[in-house]
Amino acid sequence: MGLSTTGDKKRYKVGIPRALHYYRYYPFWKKLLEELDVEIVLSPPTNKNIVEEGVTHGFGELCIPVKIYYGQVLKLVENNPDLDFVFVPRYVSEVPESYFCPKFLSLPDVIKILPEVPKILNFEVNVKEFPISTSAIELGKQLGKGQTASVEAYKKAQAYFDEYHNFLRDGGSVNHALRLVHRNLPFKLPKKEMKGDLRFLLLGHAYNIFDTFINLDFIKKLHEQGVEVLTIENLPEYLFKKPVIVNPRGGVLRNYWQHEEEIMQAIRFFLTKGRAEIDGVIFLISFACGPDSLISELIMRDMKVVGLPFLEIIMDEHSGEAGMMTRIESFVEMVRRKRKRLGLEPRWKSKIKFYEGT
Amino acid sequence: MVEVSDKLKSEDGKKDAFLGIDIGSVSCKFVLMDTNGEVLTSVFLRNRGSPIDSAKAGMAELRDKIRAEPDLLNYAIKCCGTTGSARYLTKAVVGGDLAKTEIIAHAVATQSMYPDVRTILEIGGQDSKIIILRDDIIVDFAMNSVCAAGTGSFLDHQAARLGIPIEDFGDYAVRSKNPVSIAGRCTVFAESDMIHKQNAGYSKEDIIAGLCDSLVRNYMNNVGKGKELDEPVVFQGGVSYNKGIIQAFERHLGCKVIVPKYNVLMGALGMAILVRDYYVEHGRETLFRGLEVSDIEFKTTTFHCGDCPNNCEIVQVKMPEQDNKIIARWGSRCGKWDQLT
Repeated sequence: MGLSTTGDKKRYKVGIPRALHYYRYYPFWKKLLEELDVEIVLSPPTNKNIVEEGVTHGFGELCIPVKIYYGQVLKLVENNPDLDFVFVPRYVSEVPESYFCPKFLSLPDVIKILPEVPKILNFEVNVKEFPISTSAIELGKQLGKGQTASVEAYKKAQAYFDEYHNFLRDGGSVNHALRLVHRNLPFKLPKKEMKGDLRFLLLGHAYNIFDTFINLDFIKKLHEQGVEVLTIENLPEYLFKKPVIVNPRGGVLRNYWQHEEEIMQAIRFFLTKGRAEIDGVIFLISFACGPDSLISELIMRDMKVVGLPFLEIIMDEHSGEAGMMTRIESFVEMVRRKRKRLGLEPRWKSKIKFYEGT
Repeated sequence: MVEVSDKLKSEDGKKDAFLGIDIGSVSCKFVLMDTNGEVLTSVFLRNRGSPIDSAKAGMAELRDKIRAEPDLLNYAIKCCGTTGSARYLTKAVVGGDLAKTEIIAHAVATQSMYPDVRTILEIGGQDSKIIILRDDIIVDFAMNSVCAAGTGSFLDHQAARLGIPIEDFGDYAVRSKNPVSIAGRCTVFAESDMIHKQNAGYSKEDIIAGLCDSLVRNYMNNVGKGKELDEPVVFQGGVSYNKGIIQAFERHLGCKVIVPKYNVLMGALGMAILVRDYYVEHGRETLFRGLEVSDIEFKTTTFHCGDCPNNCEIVQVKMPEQDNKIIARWGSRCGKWDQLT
């Protein structure tokens, strides 16, 4: 095995594909692996070539983000033939009540099928069975680290991850924050702030709304139309403490999927106290996503009740720019015309009021 | 001759006119409108290869129509707007003052004729949309996604397969007494279902009526999904010529479906109204190149950027008669080619 050496110490070289949960957990993984004395390599941002590779190796039924994951793994291996491991975590459950999509559950098994993939570094998160510190210990074992070192690394990673989340809640955008993490820079808001006359809540899986290639730089397109964008990562923690009961009359029917639960929790705020804080909601869905299509229907009904404009955009590998632009432009124009017609002023202040702790 | 006015104030005797252009996927529409919203003249053409050719052909025909009608010589075009999927390209070529999406243009046109409209159904050559309005305001819309099932192109194709001119398609459907049921989820299935029914000996009338029904079902499930379709309902776009589809909509919705007078021109008309309002509000000098745009040569070239792995395909439009001046360029993801200099 090609161990790279720095001084007398042997360090493993671990590759992280820039796809799927990268957009959610990268700061945590980075800190955790670095504390375990690992050299990290990241695959490049998604590009045409990566998508094509992924589409070739993924079968038809898969959603585009998973196909991109394939492409990213292949690119990672191609660019770094000397990798000791590819980091392919298995996220089963992060809170006891809900699961991740089955595609995340099976990821390490499926990735093995791809050609010339080196050993897989597994990190299994399943709090239904064991705490995350145990996951960290198991991860450490694969890297030849002892229990104490692994638990220490986990604590540091979690502390860093909390700091990262606080930065997002202060208004940092995910892509900006990830860039800072990657360059080992301190968390600092950019000097130039995007100002607009509309504010939309952009919903969707992080890997859909922050992979600027596959969504045709959706957030930038909204900015260009004079729209400020809020994502659920910017919302305070307390909103995500209370479970969403989908059907109060039919007993306790809860969301089964974690991402979808988070989206629904966020929506609750804007249905009630936060109604005046946004002008519209856009839900970006990848084609063939079952969980998303389910809650999209629920959100649509909720939005109708409170009269918040709602747009669902489904994207796939062949998303044409023209079709997406027509939808965005029409939606923005619709909201602006409505406001003008009713003689309304923007009701939100520059900073959202979240009524902390209620 | 209708002139392009280069002054903001009306010139002696000339009345203001506004031009709306809608270049869609299958056809292009031009509407010349006066200040009061009356349609002075219009052009409807099948697309000619590229949006640029279509725009030029439409301009040439518009010019001929104006020359033939002495009344129109008293007008001067004050402002020009474009809509449709090729709105930005068309805007660059003809010198448009404003580009808006089809959704907005269609809604504005329909509202001008039916101020209390609550539902607009629009089915064109390649796409279909629905617009929901409440109290004069657009509150929701949807367009068909990747699937072009149940649009004009599909009907065209089926008409050709059955050996019936598309113009007569609706009459056949209306004559049917017992529409057969045709799979409505997907046009690929619909077609094979139709062939089965044909081979089983069902009459063309019944098959066509069944097809109209399945198309409407598809539209309701795909585009109209989850929307409340309240009266008054206005149906426009090329497919609204088809009586069979109108009847099928009325059956499904259980209410009357209105087809406006300018059913295929609504996008262009809406755009004309939008530029009129734009002109009234801003009073800017127009960028419109004039009807002679049909004589100007435009050249589009494409090249691959190659500066990053995305290898974007960049399109640019040049005017060879003006030292190959680049009037429009797009296609790069990063935006570096969007500057024209």
